Order: sequence, then structure tokens, then C-alpha cells
Amino acid sequence: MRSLFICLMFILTFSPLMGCSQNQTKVEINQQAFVFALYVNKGKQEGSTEVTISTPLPNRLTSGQQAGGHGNGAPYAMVTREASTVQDALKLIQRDLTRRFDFSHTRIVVVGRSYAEAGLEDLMDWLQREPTTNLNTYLMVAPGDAKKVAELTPIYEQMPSEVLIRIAEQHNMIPTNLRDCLYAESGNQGYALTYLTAGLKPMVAEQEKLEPWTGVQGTAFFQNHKMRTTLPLKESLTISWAVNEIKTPLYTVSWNENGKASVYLISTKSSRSVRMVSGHPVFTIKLSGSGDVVYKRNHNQYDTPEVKEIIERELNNQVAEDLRKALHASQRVGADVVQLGMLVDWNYPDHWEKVRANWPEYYKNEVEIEVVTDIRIRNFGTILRTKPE
Amino acid sequence: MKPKMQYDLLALVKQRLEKCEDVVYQALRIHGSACTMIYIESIVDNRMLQENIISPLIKKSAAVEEHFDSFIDRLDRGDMLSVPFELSSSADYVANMIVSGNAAMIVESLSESYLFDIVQYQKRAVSESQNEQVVNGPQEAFIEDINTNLSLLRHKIKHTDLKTIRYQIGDYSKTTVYMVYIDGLCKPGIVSQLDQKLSSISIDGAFGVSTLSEQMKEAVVSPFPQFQYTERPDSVAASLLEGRVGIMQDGTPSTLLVPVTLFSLLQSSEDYYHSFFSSSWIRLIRFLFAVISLLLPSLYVAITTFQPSIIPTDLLITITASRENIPFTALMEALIMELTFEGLREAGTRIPKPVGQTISIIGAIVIGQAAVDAGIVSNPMVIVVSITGIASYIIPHFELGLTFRLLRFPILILGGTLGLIGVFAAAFLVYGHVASLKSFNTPYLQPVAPLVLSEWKDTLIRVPSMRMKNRPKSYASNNNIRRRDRS
Repeated sequence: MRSLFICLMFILTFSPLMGCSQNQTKVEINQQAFVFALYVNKGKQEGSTEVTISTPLPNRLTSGQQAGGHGNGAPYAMVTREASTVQDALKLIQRDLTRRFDFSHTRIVVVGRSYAEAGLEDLMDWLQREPTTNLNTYLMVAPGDAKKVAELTPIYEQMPSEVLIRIAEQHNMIPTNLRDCLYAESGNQGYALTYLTAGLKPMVAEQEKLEPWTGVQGTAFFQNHKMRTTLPLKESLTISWAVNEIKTPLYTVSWNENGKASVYLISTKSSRSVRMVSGHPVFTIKLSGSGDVVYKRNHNQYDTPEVKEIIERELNNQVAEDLRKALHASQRVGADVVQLGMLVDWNYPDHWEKVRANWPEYYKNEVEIEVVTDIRIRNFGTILRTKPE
Repeated sequence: MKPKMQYDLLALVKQRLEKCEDVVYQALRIHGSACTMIYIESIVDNRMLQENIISPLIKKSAAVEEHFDSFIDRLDRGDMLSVPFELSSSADYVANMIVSGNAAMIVESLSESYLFDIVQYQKRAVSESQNEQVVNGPQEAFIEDINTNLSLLRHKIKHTDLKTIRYQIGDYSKTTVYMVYIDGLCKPGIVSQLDQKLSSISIDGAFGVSTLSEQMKEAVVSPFPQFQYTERPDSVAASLLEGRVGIMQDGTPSTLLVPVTLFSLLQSSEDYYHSFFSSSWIRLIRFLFAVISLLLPSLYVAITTFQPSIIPTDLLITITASRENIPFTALMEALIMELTFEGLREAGTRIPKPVGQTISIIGAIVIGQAAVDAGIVSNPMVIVVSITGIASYIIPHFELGLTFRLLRFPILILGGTLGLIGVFAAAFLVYGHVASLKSFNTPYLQPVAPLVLSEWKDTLIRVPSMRMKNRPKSYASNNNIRRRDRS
């Protein structure tokens, strides 16, 4: 009897931990709506926010032969409400919904362009305070209406949100998540988000009908949670490279009249450093990598070491040029998207204390950035001929 | 010259064996003197009785011209018969010896009865082990006959230090029990402790060895087995060499081994018959499944109802999709399935063989696809319950498997009501209990708690026997060098 009592006391000790905070309360898994994606737009009324949630409909998802209805509709639902803040809009959605939200599986938040330009503070604040959201939620920007992105036809996946997550996970473009944004913001620096494109495309899988399609068109630069500018694809790639977030990009270079070759970069690396020159920081961004030639127009030139050198040189030039353009754009709007400020903070903390408060301005006017590239060709894809016959 | 005319011994014995109609009273005449041979035909060796006792007696009494008294003297000295015997004049004792398989010869003119120990019970042949099967290694198992069992054990250990102490337990059953140990290898304390306990047991009868173990159990109320049961002579022999003590009982193939630790219950004798790589791997698998059999259903219920955020998204979709339209809560679902499984398992062991197949078919339907198709339970739950069910049979000692199966239910309920915290609280309670257990002064979790690193060679994994130079300290003795290098 006494030992039973001790057991009971032991378990009761934990009762304050069980509590009724949101993630501890008991809810059956089939009574929850797992929000996989959030789409946030500027509302139609001035100062309002339009929030759309996307949740899967488990009874329409194909998983074995479970009892119950098998709808033919889309396996996900989207609900939209408009209110003065994100929280209020979510509250409105919850009121109409039969199931309880759970944000623990929210991996993607897409914001509309106009909302992004007006500033993400509201959204960021909610994402930080809501206990169930993840810090590795990806953020992306849609041109125009964020909901339009979600209309894409998920050919390979079951839900549009999965498509967007895959886009981020494949590291084709900078996959900025909430943690990155909060880091950058805490240091008064900028960040870059993937800038999507939404449009119509004929689909072979859907009988050549025109279907909504979503892709990546570049990056959007943010400073103080406000969108400042966008950057096209090529320059955006180098920004992703500079923050070490890109995997296996492909570059095509041309030289002379008809020299043309494509290089598939197997490994990419970047290093950033800072040194002080006459009281001002001078940054060096070095992009290095190695790749294989996967295509060369084979007209007059043989595969000689000289050609390899030409390709290497052209490639280095092109990457350096892209990066310079990208950095120039970021300096123009004062958005330190590769977080060079951190380097100052780590290496020259005293100097950082002085410039931290108006870093965007300082970055815009006083900072000098050097670009170095070291890209090598590892395989030529064919036998090198030192002596052309 | 012995006192004559105590003829009423026969009457007294007869009186005690009244209404025992399987007792045979065979009248003989030896050297002119009437005598009666009393025995129970079904439990004595009849051939021995006829060829080695009765016929030599008759022949010699017919051929000899000597005096009756010198004839009896020769008989008493043991010159005449090859069968050992004892003498008793107590009617109680004689009657008791008769029912335990002796043949008593009462000579008319003598006060003492001759008792010939020619007991022979019905027994089966030594067969393969049914419950502790191995692929490699010895296959034989103990049977119900204690002498056969001792023979199997003596076959393995040929040393004068193998001690066999005999007890008789049970007022009615008079069961023979042997305590076997190797002098000098086991803790002397255990032997005296067991000796005391075995001598003080007072019960009507002992048939399974568990009766003994319950009588000897130390005060703690615990679901965990504090004795190891085995029917394998090689397990007993190996345990004796580790310094443990065995208790063998007549009438059952199970032998008790003490002391036990949790880890000894998770080892199989087969571990020592395979290469150390494969047996180490199998042991690790066994530990994993032991944990699974205890915690998997409760973890599943706790995570899906309280912490869906830690399930990978893709898996979450699958689980949600299959939980859709299930009318029960996850906890109820798990309880229903676990109880069904336990019921099926019990039915499976009790069922008469001819109808066994029917039940297994029906059981498979109930617990499997039909329940899922009907929308009563979800697919992942069926998988969880099946894995758990299989896991509990991976534990080599059935008793420990039973313990885990029993503990699973309270943990499941805690997990379903309090979430992961409930599961962890339950796990801590079980751990605390196990850590406080002792089996004959050996901590139950040794060598993990208390930590004895030198014994880890043969705990989670098994190193080659070349490396195990010392005997385990858990069952310590002074003589702990197992292997000496010969150079």
C-alpha cells in the first residue's frame, strides 16, 4: 500500500509539467488540422492582413484502403480570412473550423509582394511568439498574391506546400528559414528570401491544359523586415553561393563567336573575411568550387588544356561579375543580405558597436567588398588531347 | 541371536496399507520360515525383484544345509544378495518406504523388515528442449526424473567439487529436491541461506518448481522474476561454473537458478555457441526488442495524442490518414488491440491441438485486416501491436517476457493520459524498482548498477571466451580466475 502511495506521489510530481499549454493538451491526431503552409497577403482594407492556411485532408490522402469516404477532390483545404493582424485572422479561421490548428508541421510561409513591401514585423512577431511554430520554417516571397502560388498543380507531390518545401530543400536557391531571418534582424542586417514566380504552363500530365505553375525567379532582399528589391536568377545564385546555401549549380559560358560550354559544379564553397583599411572594413568574398564540363559546342576547337583554361577563365569572370552585380544591388538598397556585419561583430567588436545602429546606411556608403573566385574544372568529360591532330 | 516372534509387524504394516489395493503381498518360504514380500508392482523394478532378490533367496535356502540363524547372518552381512537393503522394525517407516517404491520383506520369525530400494517410476526418454531451443549446441533437456537429470548434469561436470545436497519437501508428496553447486565457486552465504530456506519449507506437496521459488522468494513484492528457470543441462552447468546455485526438483524438468540479474535473464545459452560477432549482435537486438516490448505502444499513443510535432511530416500524413474515421481514441484502440492479443496468446497456449489452427486463423483475422477494414482500428496500430507482440517473445526467458507484457498495460494507460511525461515517469518507476531489487544479495541490475565494468564483456555484447579470463563477480567467490594462460 505504501509503495503504491509512493508511486502515485511520484507521478503526481509531474502534474505541473503536464499543464495545459497548447502542445501538452491531449488531442487525438484525427481531431487536429496540421497547418502545412501559411500564405500571408495584404488585406483589401487598409492596414488589414489576409491569412490563408493550407491543411491536408487526411480522408482524401491515399493511404491504404481505410474505411470511410474517398473524395476525388484535392487532398488539401485552404481557408482564408482577413483581419487586422495575423493572430486575429487565424482566430477567425479557427472559429469556423471543426478541427484544432497545429502549427508544429508548418514548414513554409509565403508572403505576397505587397505585404512584404509593407513589412513583415507583424508576421515575424507572431511566428516568434507562437510556441508550436518551428524555427526552420522556410519563408518565400510571391509576386502579387501569395495564394496564387498555392494554386500550382502539384504534379509529383500531393500538396502545393510539399512542392514549395522541396524547392527549398533542394538548395536550388537560398533556402532562408525563420531562424536566419531572426539572426539577421537581431544584428540589424538584411536577408534574402526566395522570390517565386506564378504563372500558367501547359502540362503534359494534364492533357496539355494550361495549369498554374510555380517556380523560382530570383531572390528578394529584405532589410528591417521590409522588402527592398528583387534580384534576377543569375545574380541570386551567387548570393546563395556566398552564404553557402547552394548545391550543384550549372553555368554555361561562351567565348569568341561560337565557343560555348556548360559546367556542372560538383562542389561549391564560399568564405568571407574582413580586414580594416584606414578605419573602414574591407570585405573579401571568395567563391570557390570545382565542376565537370558536361557540354561543349564541338565546332572548331579540340578538347585541349588551353580550352579548359578558357572555360575556367570565362566561368570565373561570369561568376565574379554576377556576384558584383548582386552585391551592388544589395548595397544600393542597404540590405546586407550576406550578413557581412556579423564578420565585423566577430572580428572588430569595438568598431561594430559604433556602426551597428546605422549599419544599413554604413553598408550602403562606406563598405568596400572585394570579390575573388576560384573555380576549377575537375573533369573534362572526355580525353584531353594535348596535341590536336 | 535375534529376538523372535514379533510377527505382528506384518499386521501393523498391513493395517497402514489398508485399502491400498495395488499393494502386492507375495508369500515366500525361506529356509522353512514363512515370509512375505510387500511391494507396489507399478513402482518397483519387477525384473530386479524377481531375478536379484526372490530367486537367489529361494535357491540358496533350498541348497544350503546350514542353520537358519547363520543363513540370516549371511543375509544381513550382505553376502547373499547384490541388492543393497536396510532394516527397520518400525511399521510406519516400512509402510512409507513401500509407497515410495521399496520392496519390504518381513520374515515371520524376525522383528525387523528388510527394505530393498528397487524403485522404478515411469519416465519418458530424454528429448530435445521444447522451450529453450538452440540451433547450435546441445539439444537435450531435463525430464521429470531427478536421477536422469543428475546424470545429465554429472555428464557435464566431472569434479568432486560438484556438491549435491538432498532435501525432501512436501508432507504428502515427499518430493526429492537437490541443491547443486560447485564448492569454492559460489558465495558460501548463498548455500547456507538456501539450505535454511529449503529445510524450513513446509507444504503439502511441490509439483512445479515455482512452488519452491515462491516459498523461497525474498520479501519484495515484484513482478520481476527472481529465479531463473531452465530445462537445459548446459545452462545449469554453465551457471554453476559462474558460481550460481541450482535447485533441481524431482518431477519437473525445470531447474531453478539463483541468483539472477536482469541481464542473465536476457541471455540465451545459444549466445555462447555462436561466434561472438553474431551473438553480440543478436544480444543487442534482444535488448532493443525488450525495450520495444515494454514501451512501444505507450510511446506511440503518447506521441500521436500529445506530441504530434515530433513525428516527421510525411509519416504524420500517413498516420493521420489511417486514424481518420477511427471511432476510438488512440488509447482505447491500443488497449483493445493489446487485450485481444493477450487473449489470443493465452488461448493459443491452452487450446487443444486439433482446434488450434482454427483459432489462429480467426485470431489473425480479428487482429489483422478485418479490424482495419471495418474501421475499428488503424493500420499503424496493428503494426505497433504486432511488433510489440513479437518483441515480447524475443526475450529468452519466458518469465521476464510475461513481466514486460504485464507492465506494458500500466505504462500504456499512463502514456495515454499523461503523454510522454507519463511514459517517462513510468519508465523511471520501473527502473527504480528494478534497481532496488536484489536476488540473494546480488543487485538485480549488476553489472550496470552498481557498475562493474569488467563484466560488461558479457552483458550487452559477448567478447570471445579468450578474453573472459575472470569469472563474473556478480555471483562472486574468491576463486575468480577462469582461464590461466599456458605458456
